[in-house]
Amino acid sequence: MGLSRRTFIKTGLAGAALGACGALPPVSKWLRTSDAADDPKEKVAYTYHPPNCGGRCSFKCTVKDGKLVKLEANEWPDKRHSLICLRGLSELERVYSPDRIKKPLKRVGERGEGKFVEISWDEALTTVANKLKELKDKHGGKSIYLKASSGVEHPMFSLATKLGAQFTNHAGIDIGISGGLNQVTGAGLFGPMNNEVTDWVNSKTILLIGNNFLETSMTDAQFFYDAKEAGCKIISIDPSYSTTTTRCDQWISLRPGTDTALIMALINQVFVNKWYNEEYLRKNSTAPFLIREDDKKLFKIGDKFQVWDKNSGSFQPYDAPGIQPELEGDFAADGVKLQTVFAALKEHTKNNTPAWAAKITEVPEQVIKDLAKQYATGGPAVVAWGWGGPDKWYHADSLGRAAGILAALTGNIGRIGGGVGAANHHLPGYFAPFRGWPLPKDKGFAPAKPEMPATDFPQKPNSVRAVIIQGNTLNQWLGNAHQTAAWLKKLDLVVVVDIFHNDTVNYADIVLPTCTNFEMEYDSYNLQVRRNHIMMMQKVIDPLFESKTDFRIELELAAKLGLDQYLPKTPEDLNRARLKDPAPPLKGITVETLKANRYIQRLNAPMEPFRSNMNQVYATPTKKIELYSQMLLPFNAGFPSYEEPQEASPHNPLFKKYPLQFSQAHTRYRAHSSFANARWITQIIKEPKVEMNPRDAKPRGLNNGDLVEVFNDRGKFQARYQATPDMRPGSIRVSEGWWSKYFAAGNLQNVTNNANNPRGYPLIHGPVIPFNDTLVEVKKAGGAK
Amino acid sequence: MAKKLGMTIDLKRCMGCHTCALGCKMQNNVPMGMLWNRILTDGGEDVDTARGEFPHLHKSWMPLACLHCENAPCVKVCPVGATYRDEDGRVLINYDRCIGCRYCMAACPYNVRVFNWQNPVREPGHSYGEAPARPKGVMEKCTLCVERTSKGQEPRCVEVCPAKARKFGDLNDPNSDVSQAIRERGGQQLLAEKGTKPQIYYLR
Repeated sequence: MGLSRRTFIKTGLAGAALGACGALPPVSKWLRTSDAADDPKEKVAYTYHPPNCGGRCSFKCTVKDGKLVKLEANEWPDKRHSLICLRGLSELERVYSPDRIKKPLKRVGERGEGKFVEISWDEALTTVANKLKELKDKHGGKSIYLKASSGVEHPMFSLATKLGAQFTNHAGIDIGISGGLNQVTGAGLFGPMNNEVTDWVNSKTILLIGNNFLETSMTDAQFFYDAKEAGCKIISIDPSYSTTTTRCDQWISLRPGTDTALIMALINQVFVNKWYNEEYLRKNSTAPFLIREDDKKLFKIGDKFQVWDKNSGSFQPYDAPGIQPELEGDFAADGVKLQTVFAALKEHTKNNTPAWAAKITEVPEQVIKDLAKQYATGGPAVVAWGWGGPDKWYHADSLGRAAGILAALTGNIGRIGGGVGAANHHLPGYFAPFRGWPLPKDKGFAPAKPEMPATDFPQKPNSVRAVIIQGNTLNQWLGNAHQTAAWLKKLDLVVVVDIFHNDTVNYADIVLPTCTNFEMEYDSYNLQVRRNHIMMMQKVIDPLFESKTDFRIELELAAKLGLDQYLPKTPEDLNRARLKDPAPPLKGITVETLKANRYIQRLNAPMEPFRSNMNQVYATPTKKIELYSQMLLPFNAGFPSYEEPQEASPHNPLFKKYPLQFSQAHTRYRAHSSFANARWITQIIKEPKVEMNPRDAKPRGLNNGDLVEVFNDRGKFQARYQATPDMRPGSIRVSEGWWSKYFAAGNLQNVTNNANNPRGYPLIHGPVIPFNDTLVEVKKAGGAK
Repeated sequence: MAKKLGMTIDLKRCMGCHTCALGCKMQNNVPMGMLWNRILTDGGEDVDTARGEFPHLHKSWMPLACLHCENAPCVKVCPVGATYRDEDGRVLINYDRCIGCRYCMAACPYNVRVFNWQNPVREPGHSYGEAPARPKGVMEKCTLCVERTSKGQEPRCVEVCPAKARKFGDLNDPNSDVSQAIRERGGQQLLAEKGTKPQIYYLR
């Protein structure tokens, strides 16, 4: 039987408030959308997803009567990337969220109370500008600090430059392991793997350390499965049974925070069994460099590091042509004994046996031995990690160094199917740098040099008296929320620029409403390079309510300060400047060509997976893989070592009182704290849960669904307990990024550790916040809720 | 030969990401409080529940939506013929005819039908996707994205799956992707013993 014929009458929604829905009109007046291709009144536009959402998906957006009605993946030139995941799909609602900040706001009541009145843009911008002028005149630009969350498309770096303000965009989070890896391989921000995940199909072994790849990199899941189908053995090293663990060939559960001990044991086994690649180490690493017995520094003649050349029987500069450096032997110069880095490393790891590591990690000794053999002798191998687990520990840098050294010893860097680093967000790719917006040379515009890592601002005396925050930075990016709040209360001015009313907004004096990636005053907006493509944002809908793009806000604030003449007038002006005199991968790509190609083009780059360091040149001082760090000698850390977690260790006396390790892991439902308020997603996962193994819950008298309190000396919060057999006993988890309004009480950052490791300060991006290096206790919450 | 549209879902690849659930919601204008496509785990009713005790655990996800049975109980019990099987093998609902008696809900052994008890609430407060809005008092369920598949496109859940766990096609065509997958992997039909003949096959 066929459908009866129906006529649809469009109804006006003009009378319906956004975010609420009155009764639908009578049956005969149903609203129906239709495919834009069938209806010339509809419009299609292209944009892409915010920067921290796992991989920069490009979207095809359908608009009807000025409203977003459909989101699909844009078609990429490389079709494998034509994807959209649940976070992208949820934008259709999130754009119109009842959490939208509709107008500029001014605080009434105490800072942190979250009470505001609506004011005009002119009043808001004038208030901010006047205060900034006053502070700059009295205390200098360094008294002003600008910070954007990683979900922000257009950080206000230009404004910071012209004010001479302090500005940092990557501090304290996602930079722990990479700080260590940088010491070994010169890896850049976030420590991306050398090879793209599209190269995993050529790997024989992949170790995923605390990496829930199938949740955090959904749009790269296909490459995980391609590797499996090609016969790769994928091993999950994770305390708990994650989604990714379920799809791996092997699971190794270890005590949280002990990953470095495991890697040190693998290094030990590589030495014991001579599984290292001698020729590779000789040519490409500092293994043959010589450590002085007296001051532990590397031996130099003049300003050149030396190696012992077998051919000439003498010291030679490490980069002299034709030399054959020795990896072992007895050497001396001017009465000082010299030892090769290789021999010193072997000696350093001599006691890091599988038996030693087994005691620390609680992984059986034989499992460790087998793992070492699989990794070292199984063919091209990858060590990869995520940022939600092992990165959030006080000593995370040691893991990066140890993993880098392990990969180097076995010749797995600059190798097809090899690699070491962070696996998420599809970070590795062909390099396509943009030019900048030209600055007048005579004005001396420059941001102030950061006086300390920004994570220290709540903890140490500093110059900052005003902060301008884009995004949910203050809650997402600082541990120990009570200390953060105390710091903010002392400031002269807190400005928050955001789309939604989240936790950070509550601390503001002035709130400025900004746009999502779908709204703009302009025809086009930002540029981004990812997955070997370049993307531009097209206007999808007009800014909602009184929101403005960050670009527009920056420009208007600059105008109030008399500085707007030095900024681009439109995003397109900025994009043209960025694409001028293009780097080779960008040749032929312009604003016009992007518009003609659905706002996405592939870079001029080879079709094969990106693999850095295939030429064995590294962004280290010596241009080689550096197994030994002179910079860290003051911390007695020329080589990495395993160290017990700073707080979350059973050896800590505090463990008696707070015996549970607290994790805030990443999840498929959020990117940091973005999407916490996406109602399409909270339809599936309604609220934060305290995930705990029933074995830990039982002696605490907890039943599934009970309201519980998680607490330590720093603070507490309340949420429902969920019986989670996946959790390793001794650990609990609340996934990262829930806004405090979703908790029954408190905020998950009330309990987290914000101690900065002194060894982190010299590292490329400073110390990491050890959110997961936290001990707590859990009890049933008093009173019914 | 008439088409018999069906699907395979590879449970070795499914990672419970719920992208298919939201892709379906968007395409089919599904309101709040219901989903046409849910993802179940065999450990329990909470999202992502594992079976077993640490460390001896197992977790598997199973997306569940209308199975478009060849011998559909819901078609048989519908007193007004609102539920019917179309010429391509989809099981569909004529919303104009539906009287909301919910016999089909009771008859379906897979629990895949949802009912509009109240006036539908959509967030945001406008319709989206390609399917017409349904009023209070009628049944809803997966249509195999009839607005798409009748134009030769794949269902939205197939298109958006990041793990590429789903295949869609004509079960009556021995050369189709779905037919090949079933031959190679031996697709499982849910509750096969009930004789409903589902056209959605799970690969394990």
